[in-house]
Amino acid sequence: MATLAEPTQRKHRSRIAQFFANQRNWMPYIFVAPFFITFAIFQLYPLLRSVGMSFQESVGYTGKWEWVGIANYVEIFTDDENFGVAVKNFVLFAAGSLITEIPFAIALALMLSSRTLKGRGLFRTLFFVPSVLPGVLMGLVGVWFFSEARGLANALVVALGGERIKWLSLREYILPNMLTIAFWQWMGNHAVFILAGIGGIDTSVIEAATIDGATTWQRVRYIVLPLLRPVLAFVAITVVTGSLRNYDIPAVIFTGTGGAGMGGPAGEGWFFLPYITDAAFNRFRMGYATAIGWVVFAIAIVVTGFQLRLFQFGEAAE
Amino acid sequence: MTANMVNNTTLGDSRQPQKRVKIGYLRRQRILLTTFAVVISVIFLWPFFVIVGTSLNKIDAPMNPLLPWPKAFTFELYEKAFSPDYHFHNYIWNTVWVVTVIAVLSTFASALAGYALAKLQFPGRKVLFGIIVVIMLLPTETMLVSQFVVLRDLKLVNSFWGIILPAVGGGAFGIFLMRQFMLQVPTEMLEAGRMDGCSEFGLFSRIVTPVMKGPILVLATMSVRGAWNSLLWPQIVLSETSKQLLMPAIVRLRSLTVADPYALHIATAVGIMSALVPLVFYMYSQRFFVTALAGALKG
Repeated sequence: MATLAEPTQRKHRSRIAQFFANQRNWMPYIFVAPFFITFAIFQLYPLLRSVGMSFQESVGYTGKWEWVGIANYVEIFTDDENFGVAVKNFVLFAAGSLITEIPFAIALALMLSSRTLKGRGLFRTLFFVPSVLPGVLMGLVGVWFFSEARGLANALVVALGGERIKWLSLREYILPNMLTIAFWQWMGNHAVFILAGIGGIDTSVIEAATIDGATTWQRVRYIVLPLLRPVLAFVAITVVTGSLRNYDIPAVIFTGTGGAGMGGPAGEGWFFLPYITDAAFNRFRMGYATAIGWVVFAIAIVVTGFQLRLFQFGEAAE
Repeated sequence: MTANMVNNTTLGDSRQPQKRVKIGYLRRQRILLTTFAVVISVIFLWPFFVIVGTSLNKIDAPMNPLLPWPKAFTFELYEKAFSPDYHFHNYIWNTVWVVTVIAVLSTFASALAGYALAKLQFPGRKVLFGIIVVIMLLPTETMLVSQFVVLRDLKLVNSFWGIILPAVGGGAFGIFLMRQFMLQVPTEMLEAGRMDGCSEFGLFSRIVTPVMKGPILVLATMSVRGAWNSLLWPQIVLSETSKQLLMPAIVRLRSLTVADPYALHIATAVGIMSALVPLVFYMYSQRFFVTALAGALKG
């Protein structure tokens, strides 16, 4: 590049001028600037500000705040049954989703990867589609499916000789409903990720095993699954963080069934984001909601870190 | 052209090397497996068929919930959604323009940043990429209250810009994905462009973008889907009824189920219509999706 510059002028240039003389030096910063600027204003600054907010309480909706020390955090851990409900629901929902979605997703991915199957692309699309749909629509599908009088679930129950069940208004069905909808929405999505992972496996390894007489099951168990560890880690982390962010489905299912708002039947249906939203914008306790946000933030980091460890992600990704 | 990279790996047909003798067996296996796949995908999608049928049914003629066809066919619910009582055309229009602005700008910003992080040499590149990865793993939604407070201080509450501005810079995941793809752009191509006197931005717009159409389309699809489907943030930022976006409007109508016998039905019909947007984008870009996902996972 330097050969192009005129030798006489070059000496007099300051370093700054030199830096700006070649757009190769500064253009990259312009290219990454939009993200970092919007991130700084709308995410990082609020994040820093929320540290202080969590030790304060908002005075109604006025924009005035007063310091309350650690009272918010004390309240979360000693005097808030609903937060306890949200923690319990998160744990059960995350564990339930892992148990129900991942084995089926693996099985589906194996089936979709088989050359014996015709129309693989079409099936892949069909199973992936629910995860593209709005969460709101998935919630509505759930509302209809579990409707007491007009639902498919009860029609099946009745056809099998049972009594109609009040799926949506009894607390013991909160998690089963939620897990059913989540299964619909996400299982195919996980399967496509796993399928992509299977595509990345070196076929010669599998062929070698086949020649050595390994059965289908042995090949899956001892070659494919271990090689899929990074993908499975990714999927598992998606499932758990997704459970942490669960909002749309409770918002659709629980509002309109009368009374309890986003807390669900008997207030047993709280999840983190509905609860934070409710505290901040229905009860106008923004400081308290922020403190809950921090506790959930901490939970998320611990859980994700634990999962990365568990799957030895660092090692798998070199 | 559905035969993507994924399909070349086989797990189920171990006896293949033995050829000819087994052709009849293979064909039978193929028919069995394909039938099985058809059956489970129909079961899997059945509730969707039923809900579409429900949205085309007169509300006072309850249909058999086991079957997807309406008992008394009508477009009434869809028509009502656009009537002055429900004015969903307003919400749809709000959403269309907000989502268009977000999708165009954020896709552009993510692609540009991903390109810079993958192909350009500059001090701080590794650090910035590290920051992107960390951001990607942080659950920033938990901070929505302070985000709202900052937005209120900026006078952006109850303004569409409160939805648009935070999103236009692109997202960490989008940038990460783009960066993984941009690594494939041959450096010699860029060098050749520079030799010919192409500006840095010209390299991106004239050399990189045409090669990266597929990935950019995937990113645009994800961005449309995210903005179009989002419920929580627009619910908080736009509380004035006339300014609502589609998803919050559907949920608000659904919450009136007890007071208005049409509420849940119309909410459902609109919900089905609203699904068409992400669906169409996905269908159009889906052939790039699997490769996109595989590429992202390699990081």
